[in-house]
Amino acid sequence: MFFNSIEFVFFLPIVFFIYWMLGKKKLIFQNYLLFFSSCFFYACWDWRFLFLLMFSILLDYFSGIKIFEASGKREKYFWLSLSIVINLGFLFCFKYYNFFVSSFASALNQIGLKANISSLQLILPVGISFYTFHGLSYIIDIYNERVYPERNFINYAVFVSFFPLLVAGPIERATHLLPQVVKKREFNYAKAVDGLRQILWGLFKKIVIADNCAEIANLAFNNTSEYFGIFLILGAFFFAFQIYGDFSGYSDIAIGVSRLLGFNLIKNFNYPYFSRNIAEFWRRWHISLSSWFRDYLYIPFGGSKVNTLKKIRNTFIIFIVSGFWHGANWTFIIWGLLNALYFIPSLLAKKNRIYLDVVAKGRTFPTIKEFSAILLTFGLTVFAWIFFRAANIPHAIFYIKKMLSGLELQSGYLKVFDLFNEKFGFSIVFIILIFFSIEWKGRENEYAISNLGLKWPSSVRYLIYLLITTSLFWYGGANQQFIYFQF
Amino acid sequence: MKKFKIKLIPFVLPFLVLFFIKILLYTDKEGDLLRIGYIPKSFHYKKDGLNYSGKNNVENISTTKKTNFKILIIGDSFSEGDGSFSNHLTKNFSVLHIDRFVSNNQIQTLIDLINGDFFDYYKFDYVILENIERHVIDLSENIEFTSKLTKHQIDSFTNNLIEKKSQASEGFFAKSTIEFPLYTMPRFYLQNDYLSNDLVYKITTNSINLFNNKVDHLLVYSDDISNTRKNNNIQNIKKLESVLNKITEMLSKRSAKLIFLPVPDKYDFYYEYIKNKSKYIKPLFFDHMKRLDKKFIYIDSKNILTQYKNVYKDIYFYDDTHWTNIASNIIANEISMKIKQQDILTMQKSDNN
Repeated sequence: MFFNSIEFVFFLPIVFFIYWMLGKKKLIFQNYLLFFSSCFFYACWDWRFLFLLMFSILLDYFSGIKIFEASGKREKYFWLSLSIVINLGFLFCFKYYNFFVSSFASALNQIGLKANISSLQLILPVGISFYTFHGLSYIIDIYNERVYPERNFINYAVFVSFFPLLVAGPIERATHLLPQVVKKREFNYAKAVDGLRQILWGLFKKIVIADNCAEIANLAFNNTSEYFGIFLILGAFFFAFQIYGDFSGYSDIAIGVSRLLGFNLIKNFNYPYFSRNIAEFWRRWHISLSSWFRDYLYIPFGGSKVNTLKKIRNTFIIFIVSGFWHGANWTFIIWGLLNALYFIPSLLAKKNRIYLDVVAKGRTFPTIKEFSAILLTFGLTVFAWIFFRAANIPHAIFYIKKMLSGLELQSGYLKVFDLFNEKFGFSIVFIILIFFSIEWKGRENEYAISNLGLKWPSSVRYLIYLLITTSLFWYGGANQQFIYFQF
Repeated sequence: MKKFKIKLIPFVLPFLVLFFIKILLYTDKEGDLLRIGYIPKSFHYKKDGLNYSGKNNVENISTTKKTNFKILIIGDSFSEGDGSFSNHLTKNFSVLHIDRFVSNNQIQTLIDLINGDFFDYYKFDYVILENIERHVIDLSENIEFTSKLTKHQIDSFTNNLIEKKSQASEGFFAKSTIEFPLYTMPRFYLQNDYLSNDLVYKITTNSINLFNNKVDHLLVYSDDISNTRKNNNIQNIKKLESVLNKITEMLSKRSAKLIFLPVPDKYDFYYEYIKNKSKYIKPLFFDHMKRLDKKFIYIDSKNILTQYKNVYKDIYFYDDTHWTNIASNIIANEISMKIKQQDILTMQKSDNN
């Protein structure tokens, strides 16, 4: 059940209205509804995966209590390790087993040995990377005595399976979400309207920006041999727009839906393409994942409080693991590695924490220096995205080679003009410019249109919302799957 | 909460109503013309008997293990499917079909196969080259007579084929949700002789007996009309004929005979019934083809099917660019007859020798 599907258009209002009707009674009714509706939501993808999700919830629920009640550190450690091993074991089986098997077989082939290893024919359960990390953070926080275990099973189950964030995050923390689950929610008109606005903006990012940019990106990446030069450069840029629109759009919808139900989720994207260096980019992109790795991997390894060599080691570990989290393919690892290489210079120069505030705060335009820094950071990011999107490493290298060839040929530019003229239309370029202008204007806000038109007459404001809503239909129909569902 | 509901309804309800109108009256599961033209479906159009429901006995290059066939067929969508003339031919002959994913230009592909090792591996008596009228001139341009396609390459296409998932139905957030109920649907009911959605013409006819739903209009694909001028050009047709004659010579060295089967556009086939012809150019492709000196076996499908216009309705689907099972059966019978005549001639020649 995609967020932009007709099924969700019916599912959400039904859940919303029953939820607030029940809210007049007891909290537990609200939580029961959330739990069962989340199960239904997940089962719509594939009902078989529900068993795995339930197992993961039960495992962490009991492990959490056992860790808390453990008499000694050894017992605590046992239950922590058990939960981590089993959770990561499932993740490994479903997501990484075939990758390791085929890489191992390939390595053996290189040295002339033949491996007879069979692969598993398993479908990747939707959202497994997200809810696994969700549960792990809970267990680790209990072990580190940052949070008490939740003894009410339904409450804990809601925390893990809450449908807005179940399949593609944000990856919430028990310290942030669990207190909201156990507290009764009251309907708040302003919060609900704000949630709707954020859902609208999220849908705009996904349907208008991401899905339409995907058509161009897919043409470039799926037919690399037929194109060269400027079109492939544009293909890489459009993929950058696609993945941002897709993923941040999903997060906006998830956060907006949660607001409708009285929850506040953590911000997952903070205008990352306006970053002035890579360190800032990683503080603004997929915040819930990067902060997860920071808190549960980077800091336990010593973080930045170690010598230079260990700092570099820790940085590489985080980025490579982060790449690996995205998928079982060497391209993701190379993507992570590239980002590590981008990050290290600012770390060594102690410039990784210099841009903590939003760029050009309180000003309309950035300075030339800021603008150049934004462009450079964006360019580096786009280059790394080539590896993220390519089918494999040879494809990525082939793409880059072709991208850099034929730039001097007029025919390349004419071909791009023809393609846009006949196939895509130029309106998409215009819309992207408007989109980034709105994002720039709203960069100091929770999401770009949160304050848009609040001081204008309500008729003008509603007209703008109607225009945005109409654009969802006018530019819709390309129907691409959310990218991060595959993780 | 009441205030919230009141303010939400104007944003959601209109789009839901439009969506319901769309799912009630628009379909992407039936004729291709309805889908691409955003034409409302006709509740009176019956398709019983117009589709073939039997088994498909055609062998495809991607899956066959055999090497000897009476006929090789290379063509577009008219040559595929259970109700195609290809499948009807299997009643009398063994048929191998080249899957469409192998190429978009069947004329060039046939030349490439002849130049490669394909005809060393497989044996045929006849090769049917089929193309829809609107594309056939385009396909015959810029032909390269020396390029090759080997069996190994075809096997590679087959092995690397990623099955395209069937396109998802247009969902809620789609242009058709607002365009269909507010623009294209009212136009269909209120306007005559127009182009819907830049892709499908609705043209008034002077007969209501063309289709079983007794409508007084014809739905045709825009390319049928836009390509007419090019297809009427005698020089282009002569060029096509020379390409086909050359292919005939090449095939004869491979002991096979060429059968050329151009399929008339729906526009061409029903042109005589158009009420106001002043706006529409008369197609002349088949008239010109008839008069040329052909070295290949030519199936004048337009002439053949014209003889049945007063016998059958629904020779073409009302809502689709394709012909029905009625037409493909007639064409298959005609081809079978021609092949049998040709076989007799060939036997007589070899007896005389």
